[in-house]
Amino acid sequence: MLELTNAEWVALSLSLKVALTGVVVSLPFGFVVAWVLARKSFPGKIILDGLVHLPLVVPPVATGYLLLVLLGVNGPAGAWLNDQFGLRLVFTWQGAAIVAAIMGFPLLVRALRLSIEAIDTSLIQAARTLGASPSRVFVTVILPLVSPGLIAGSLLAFSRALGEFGATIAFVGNIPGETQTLPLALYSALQSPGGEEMGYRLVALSIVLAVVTLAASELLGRAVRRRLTGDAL
Amino acid sequence: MSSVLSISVQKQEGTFTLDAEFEASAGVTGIIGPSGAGKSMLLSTIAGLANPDNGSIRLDRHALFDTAQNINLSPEHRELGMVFQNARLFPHMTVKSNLTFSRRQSRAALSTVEEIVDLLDIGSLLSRRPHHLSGGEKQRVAIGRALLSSPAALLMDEPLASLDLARRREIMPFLERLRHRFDLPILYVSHNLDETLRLADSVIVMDQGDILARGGVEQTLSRIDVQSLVLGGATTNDHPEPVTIVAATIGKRSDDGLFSIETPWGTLTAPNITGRYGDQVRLRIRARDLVLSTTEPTGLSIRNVIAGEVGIMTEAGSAQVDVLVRPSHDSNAQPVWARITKRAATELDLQPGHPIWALLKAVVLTSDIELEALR
Repeated sequence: MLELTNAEWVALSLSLKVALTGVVVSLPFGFVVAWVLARKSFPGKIILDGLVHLPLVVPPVATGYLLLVLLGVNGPAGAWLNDQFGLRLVFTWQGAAIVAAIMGFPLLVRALRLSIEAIDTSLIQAARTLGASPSRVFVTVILPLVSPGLIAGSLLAFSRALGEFGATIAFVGNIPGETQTLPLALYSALQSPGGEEMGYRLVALSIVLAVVTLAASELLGRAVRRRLTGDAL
Repeated sequence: MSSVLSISVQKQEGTFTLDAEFEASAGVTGIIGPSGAGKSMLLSTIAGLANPDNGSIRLDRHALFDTAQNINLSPEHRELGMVFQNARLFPHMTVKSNLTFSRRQSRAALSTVEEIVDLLDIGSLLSRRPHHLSGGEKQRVAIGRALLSSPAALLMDEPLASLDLARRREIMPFLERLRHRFDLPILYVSHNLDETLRLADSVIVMDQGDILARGGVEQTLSRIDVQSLVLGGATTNDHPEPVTIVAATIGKRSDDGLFSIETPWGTLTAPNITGRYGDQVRLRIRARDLVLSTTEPTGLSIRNVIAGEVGIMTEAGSAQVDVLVRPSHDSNAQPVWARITKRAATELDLQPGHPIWALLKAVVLTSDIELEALR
């Protein structure tokens, strides 16, 4: 029972790779968008806010289909990516990572935004009067202070990516070893006759993964908060 | 060689207009005024945290800001240290990391970490985080952090305002020490007369964005209009009691426990003075603590007599009058305010120009004159 089959390993490692890549890709964009939403006011801010939240409310299959249209080999963005970088997203794990990035984006931005709003800007001013350039302020003051939101948001987005199904199957299909993540493998197992046992094992694996992620989030969050406030929790 | 800050700034914010022009060289320039006078905004513009609409800010001949030349250095390039009302320590760093945060290398180091730690007595705090410090400790660390950025001038924005009286007393000696140790222009913003009296070498009084008065501490802060602005409403019936502020030197202590105090009016005596021989102090003398006499007093127990003539008289409500006594021995010596009843003024037939003797009980000097050691 504890021994994972080869197929299960493949699905698990692919899931982790796709989710991790998705989070890493979305982090810089997420930070910029969260910063803009938290600190700037401009006309159309509410539209940006709405756009960011779209993946949360639109049916995932619809999102996946939209991506297929846009990023498909014949789609406007997909053709350009293919011509310029030889990057093909449809039916590849990179495509699955893009899906993961997009679906986790609203969760990442929400957590980061709260954290950025909570930064005391007077600390930034103090750092500037001490001779720190904006980039040094970012690394030494802003990043450490938003780290609780960074960790919470990243792990939320990571969890969301691990569970992603609809948009992934619509955009990159269900190819074992390439795009068949855990939920897709579970789906395939349940579709095939006699696949129940593997289904149970994949369900159990998914639950373990979710619990580990949640626990990591909680522990990391505590450690960071303790560092920031010095409070023993 | 210490720097000179030359400031000329105008800034409009809503209906409020800041318009200030002054120079500050080494020593403490106290900037005093009621809240909302624009003191903090002035400091923000100097530090580069807010932009004036017009004007120039110079450190010696080096422009930090100049609308005519289109110069506006960002705060990190201005080489000015700033201490804020709240310490603004970085919560994720230890005291040590806060102190050594600045990497400014454009100027020769003003001091060393060891010296600053010693001067501010924060050696036992170095490995702690700001959350575990008291308000006074935080502010000392913040002052050390600003000094360790080797600034060419230090801007202090009400550094004691968020602290209670006990903590202010705790920090004051450190401020006095750093003022004597470092040959820097220090702009010290406060709305507190005591702090300014104790620290400032010269003073700028601000009201509604403008400079109302400036100059020597004693002369400027003895002005009635300045006092009603700074102390405004602190006393009863809307006629703030004038306070005379005078520079003095603590002299010898006699065998019977009396100190002699050298003032521009001559030698006064007082028991139980806190301070040591030779200390420069500023006396605050409340107008009600003086007694006036139209004849030279004899056979009285009072030791402290100032001979002079009556200067201006201003009514303080329906029953009292404030009389300015000008010392006769030296026309440049500082005058002293006395508050007496109108009836007494009438009975004594006080008129400007008449000779007068102002009497001050030695005992009053202990209880009602605040002596604040400057060194």
